[in-house]
Amino acid sequence: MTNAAEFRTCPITGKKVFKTTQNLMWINAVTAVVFILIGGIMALLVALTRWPAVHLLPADLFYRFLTAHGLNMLIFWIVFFEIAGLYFGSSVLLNVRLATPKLAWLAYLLMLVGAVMVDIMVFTGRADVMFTSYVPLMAHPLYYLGIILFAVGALIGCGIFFATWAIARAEKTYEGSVPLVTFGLTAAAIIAVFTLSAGAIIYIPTFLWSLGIIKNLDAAMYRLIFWGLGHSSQQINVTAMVSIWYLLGALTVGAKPVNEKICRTAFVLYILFINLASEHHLLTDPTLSSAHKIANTSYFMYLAVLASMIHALAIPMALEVAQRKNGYTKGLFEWFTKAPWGQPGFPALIFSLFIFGFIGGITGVAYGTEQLAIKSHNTWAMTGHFHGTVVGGTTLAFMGLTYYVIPLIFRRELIGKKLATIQPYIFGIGIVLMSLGMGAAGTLGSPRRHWDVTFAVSIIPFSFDPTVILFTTVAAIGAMLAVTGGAIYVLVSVLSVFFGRKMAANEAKII
Amino acid sequence: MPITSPEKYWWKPADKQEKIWITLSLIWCLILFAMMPLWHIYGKQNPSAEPLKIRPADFMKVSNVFIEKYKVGEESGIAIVEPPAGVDVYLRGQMWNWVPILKLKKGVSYKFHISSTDLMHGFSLQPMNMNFQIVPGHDNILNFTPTEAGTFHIICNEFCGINHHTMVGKIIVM
Amino acid sequence: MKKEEDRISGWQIFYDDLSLLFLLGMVIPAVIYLLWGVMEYANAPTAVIAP
Repeated sequence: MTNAAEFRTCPITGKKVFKTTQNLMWINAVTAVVFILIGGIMALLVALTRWPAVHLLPADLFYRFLTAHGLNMLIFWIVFFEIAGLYFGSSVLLNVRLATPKLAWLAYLLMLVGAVMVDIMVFTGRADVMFTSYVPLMAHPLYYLGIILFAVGALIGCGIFFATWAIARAEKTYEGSVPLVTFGLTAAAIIAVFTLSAGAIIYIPTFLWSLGIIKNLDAAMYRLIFWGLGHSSQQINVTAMVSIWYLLGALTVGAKPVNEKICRTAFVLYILFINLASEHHLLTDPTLSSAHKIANTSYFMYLAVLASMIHALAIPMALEVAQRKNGYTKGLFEWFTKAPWGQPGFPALIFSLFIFGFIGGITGVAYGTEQLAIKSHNTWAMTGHFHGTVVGGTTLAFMGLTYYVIPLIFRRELIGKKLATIQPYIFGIGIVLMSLGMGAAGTLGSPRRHWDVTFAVSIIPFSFDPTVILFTTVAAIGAMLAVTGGAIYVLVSVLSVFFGRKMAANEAKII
Repeated sequence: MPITSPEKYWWKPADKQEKIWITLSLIWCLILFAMMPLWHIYGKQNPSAEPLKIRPADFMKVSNVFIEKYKVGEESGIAIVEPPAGVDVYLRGQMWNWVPILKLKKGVSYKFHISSTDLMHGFSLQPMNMNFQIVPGHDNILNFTPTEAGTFHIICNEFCGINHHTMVGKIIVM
Repeated sequence: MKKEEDRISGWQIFYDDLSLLFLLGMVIPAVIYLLWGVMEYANAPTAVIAP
């Protein structure tokens, strides 16, 4: 065991990096990359099947791999990475040892065992239930148990984050207020506690139902509570991603928040209101009243939208101010054109910001109204929306950050810097094409989670407007590009973490 | 820096540009905020607003009664039903059909009851692309008035098992 | 010294203190989204079909 008090001082930021924190961040981040690899292979196979010209997999494998794709990407990859991020935001940024490292290892083990259980159930065909596992579609009990174990592990991770925060405050390892990035991650952790609690409320009875102990579960009520987990978990991503935008701004051009009050207020609005967005899934559901639908999606949710609008100003503003200080003062846009485009972090930040805002965010707000939900509910446009937010936005930001975490925290020099630099471009352009293709096909009615949009084997003959096939092909080509970008990411990060040159203790080089 | 603690007093007034942007955003949010109920009240296409639970076995029963009473033919083994004006229409989502095929009249208003007797289904009317979640145990009550004649299809856009992609229904408007 | 402390805005203290934010972050969605929704489903009428 490493000594809990053992630390080194980062030569660039002057932060204390404790050995235990470093090890726990390492294991969580490396595990995250393993799951993005599994999810990525599934993405390739699913995209090649939806591409009508290829139509690779048979129907049963398509639905099985689609289930695996959703779980490995949306839950396992992202949450493992976020746990690493929470340990960074508390222990490293606050200069304090991590609270209860042993419990942190337990949390990791619970998450790992849960994730492996879920994957075994899915790949052996005992849980062909999609990411949502809507009742009364039933999976093997071990599938639900796996999700519960994973959620409990992640909940312990959040608890360790708060405990570390408390130690730092008690021992006064920081002065005044916590750094903005830590504040943003705190918002993410608070949202996570609500999310994971909703998960527990719904998955425990569902587990008992799969064992036959509970006889009836209301399918609509399942949807309500499930989306308290399913959508809110994406709000954790949004909040963590925005925190990482601020971090990437600092790492790439030395950006600092222009007004702390404004930035923090935006995060507070997220804490208070963003979780109500779960309602977006229920807008075309029976039984639930219009008052509930309107109150949750409009009256309160728009305050969270306002928060995103604030970040949409604050981040580019911070970048511009920093770049002007760096000497790029010519005209309106020299600060932007002369930005470090040849460093992976900057294009990752900008692509993430634009794709999240203009593709993911705008579609999200639009589809979140009752009448437009009728036009888009369960169509492929939804898939386009959340690939804009969670893939083009969150995943790309996490990828960009990885290229800095490897040298700064894991002290290894990157292998394949050139590849790392073009990676955000390939991935970003791929996701843009894919999301827009999905959005366009979905607007024409193309459904999500569908093996064959040509309806070659339906009993009652039906076919879409041929433009649907065109847009489906555009989406598939985008997906191929994105998968290539994802593969480069996995390659660079795995090679660097395991075989990169070990950096000397005082070496102050980032990229 | 966002990775270091801010200065001691950071609760400071915003800049002019920030204030302009936030004010504009807030106004935009307030417009959306007002539009949501306005659309609901004055718009003509809204999701179901009548709460009703119905046991799957009961829904099976009432929809079968409906089918037997107004059946006019059969296609691919699925009943074709022509309900007179003023009669409640029952449409059943089941693995992997929409039952029955409906013959409706243009300009007549119908009260639809859509539910499922097994899993979740997604009612997706094409080519106008109108979508509703169909939940077993709950009656999705919708008022439809066909405004044009022709043949329309209902596909399923919620995963409902291995043959989900073959689930297609039909509405003929005369 | 005392005076300087007084100048820290109440908002700043509220933002720095985790507990109230945490509480509100749990209670608001739990009441407006979850509880309200569960109540509606639980209290919705069930269709009575003659046998």
